[in-house]
Amino acid sequence: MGDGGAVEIIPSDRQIARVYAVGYSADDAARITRELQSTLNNQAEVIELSSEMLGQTLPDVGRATCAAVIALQNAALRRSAYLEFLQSCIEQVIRRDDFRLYLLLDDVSAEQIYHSRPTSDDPVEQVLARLVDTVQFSAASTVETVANQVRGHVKALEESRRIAKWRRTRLSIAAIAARVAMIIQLLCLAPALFLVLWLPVWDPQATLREYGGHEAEVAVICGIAAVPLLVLLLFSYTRYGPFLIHMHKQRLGMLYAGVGSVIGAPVMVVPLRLHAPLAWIAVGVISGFLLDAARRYGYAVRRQRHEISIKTIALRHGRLEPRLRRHALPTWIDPMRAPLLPLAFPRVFISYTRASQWGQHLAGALSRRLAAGGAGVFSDHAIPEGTSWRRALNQNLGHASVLIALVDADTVVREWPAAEVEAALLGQAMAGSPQLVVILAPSLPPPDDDAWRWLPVFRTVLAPRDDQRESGPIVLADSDKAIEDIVAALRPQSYRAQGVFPLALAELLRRLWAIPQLLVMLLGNVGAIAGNLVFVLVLLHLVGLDVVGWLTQMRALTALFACCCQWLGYTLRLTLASRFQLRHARWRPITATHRNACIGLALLIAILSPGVSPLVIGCSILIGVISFCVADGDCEARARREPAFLHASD
Amino acid sequence: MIWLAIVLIAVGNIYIGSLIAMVGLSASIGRRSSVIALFCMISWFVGLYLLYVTTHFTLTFMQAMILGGCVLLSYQYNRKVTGRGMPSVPWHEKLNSMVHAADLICQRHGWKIASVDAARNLASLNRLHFDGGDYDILVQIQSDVEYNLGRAGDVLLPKTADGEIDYDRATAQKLRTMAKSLNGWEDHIGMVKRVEIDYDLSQFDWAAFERLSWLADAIEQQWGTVGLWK
Repeated sequence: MGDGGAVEIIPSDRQIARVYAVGYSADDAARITRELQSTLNNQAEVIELSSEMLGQTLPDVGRATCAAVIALQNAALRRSAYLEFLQSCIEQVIRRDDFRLYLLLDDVSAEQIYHSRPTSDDPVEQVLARLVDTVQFSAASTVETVANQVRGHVKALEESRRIAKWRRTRLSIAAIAARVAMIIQLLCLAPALFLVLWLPVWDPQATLREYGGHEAEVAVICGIAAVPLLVLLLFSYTRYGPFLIHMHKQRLGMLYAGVGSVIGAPVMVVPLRLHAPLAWIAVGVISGFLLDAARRYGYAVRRQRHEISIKTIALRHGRLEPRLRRHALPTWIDPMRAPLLPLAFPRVFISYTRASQWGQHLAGALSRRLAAGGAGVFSDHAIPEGTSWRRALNQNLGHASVLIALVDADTVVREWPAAEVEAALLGQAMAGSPQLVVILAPSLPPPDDDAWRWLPVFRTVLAPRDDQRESGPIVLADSDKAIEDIVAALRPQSYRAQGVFPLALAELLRRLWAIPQLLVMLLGNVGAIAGNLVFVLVLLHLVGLDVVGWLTQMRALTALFACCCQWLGYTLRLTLASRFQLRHARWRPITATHRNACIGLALLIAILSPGVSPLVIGCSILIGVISFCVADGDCEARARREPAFLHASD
Repeated sequence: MIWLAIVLIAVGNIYIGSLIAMVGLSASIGRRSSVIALFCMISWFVGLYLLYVTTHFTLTFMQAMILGGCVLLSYQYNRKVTGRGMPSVPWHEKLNSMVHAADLICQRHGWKIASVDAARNLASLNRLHFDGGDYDILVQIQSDVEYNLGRAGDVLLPKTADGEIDYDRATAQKLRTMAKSLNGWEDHIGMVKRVEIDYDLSQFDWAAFERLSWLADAIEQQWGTVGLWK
């Protein structure tokens, strides 16, 4: 895993990729095929198809096919087989990350494609409208430029498949973990409330000895149940003021303050009044934090899976959904859904319309300056030709921690920029992110008599207001100073997103965590070697030797058990990294090494667990989970800055 | 004794929950609330006194929890059931927003409708024409419920040849419909008279209401009934 220097891309040896070259006449198809074959140099199988051949048999565009190059001609579009093939290619672009549809415009103009209506009765217009809604294409593409792009795509085919698989795997794992965390929290909340109601915790005269006997379980249950409530309490006092005088300004502010104060504190008092061991209370509280963080990450995952569409936006004379309207105005973050700690890396999504010269110019300048400052920046120029631009938009918008909307008179009446801004507001409602920053063009008139032409989201966001809170949109006029401020604020060194914990506390925790994190990383990095070595102990156990007894005698049982859990957590994440993220010629053997280590560690943990106390098991599980999270953060950070990794997913 | 206290407290909680929930709602809920409130307060203080006598802290805490639940449930109930069809603001504010929208439209175009004759003069000069801004004013004064209901009728909006809403005719229709719904027609009592029976409308802007009626009549005069609705 540590050897990330040798970067070499090897094409898949499992199957030969297939590329279709489609033209109306046999000559056209042959010309495209020749160019592709000479450029691809046998890296992929090029299949020539003319409209005549398409009429005889419909080719398979399944997994083996990685791209199609189609010459668009009006005469060809009138043939049903041609149209059907184009339609199936569009389907593939929508469904698969590793399929590209390249278009060569012959006598079909870009205007003709852009002006196609999906509601038309003409099937050609319907398909062209679908094309516009799906595929990123360029009117200036030639056979040569497309052939070069196909070559690049074929070379990186395996990588793009691994990236797509990793994204799906990560989101699925996170979604399942979030669901499990939420269920555990709910399961713990019910008995914790029962305990609070049943035991006279408020009565200082009452002795609770008669309720003793299950202190450890009570401590864990109450710790898990209390953390989300104590988080609410912290949020209330840091946002609404020490006397909670601002709690009425948030829709559920009184509920947050009330629940946090009235229930959160007593739940935590229960184990203290029962004199539960401090170690168990600590296990409960740390578990509570981990589960709460996992649950909150689930909302971010849900946001990442959300697909934006212009069909759902509020059109002219319409109105925003109430929950979007709330987030279009100055507000506080949702303490139940926002991440606990502020995100530290800025991922910026720049939203603008290509119809605006000012927007194009500023988007280019801004993305260059932000990228130079170290922020991750996405604007639609980065979408590769032939791919689904909607998927790229969804993925990048889902990951963004800041959305910068460049708004001028052309933007306020256009649907896609409105859909992006609405998606940002929805993201705020779902997961507390991204922060919306609006830069106004000098030419944009203030909302006045003519503002009825604007789409509702812009009217709401740009409405004058005199209040400013942490989560409302930031509206700035375009000026050198505003751009300077944005660039300075979005440097990774200075950037901090919104989190439930206030910035000062989050910063303190981050600093306090630095040394333990380093220790976890140092210890975790020997996990792969240790995991393979522990097979010796597993074998000794299998041949009948009393490994547990020997380790107990040596007083090494507890330490080894905790170490194994730590190594397992860390190495498990490294296994996933080497399987999906590592860009290395020998990623398969590296994955196998890590995987074997994980198996060895898991076996040893199973062998040792009967000999250790439940407290040690609980602590070790927590150590393992924390190690997994530390390794995850390390892998993602390295993926952002090192070419040896494919990409960062979060 | 303790069981009697629990029963009394439970009943008191339900009432006090209702009371607290109603405070947050509009005055249009009804005047019976003050009588209910009196009973609530009595049962509530009796309950608290009994708790004070028994000094059972767990029950005190349970009492607080039950009260919280009752407040929440009663609020939902009152909002969804008792408040059905009621605006979220007092009636006079709701009606004022409607009649002032017409004033705003007149203001945008510089029409001074000080009398019925002034409105008729505008109609005879064929000056009563509207644009998208006027239409938007009428759409935005609707509540969320009215807006969602109105969307079903969007297909019936008059359209121009290029598929855009014919704002001139659509606004005229909306203003005429609004005036009719407030004033009533044939055997139907108007919304203003209906509301006046149960609620105090002393803060309603009667002058603006009159101006809206004149404007609506003038619209009908200029467009003609058939021309307006064809």
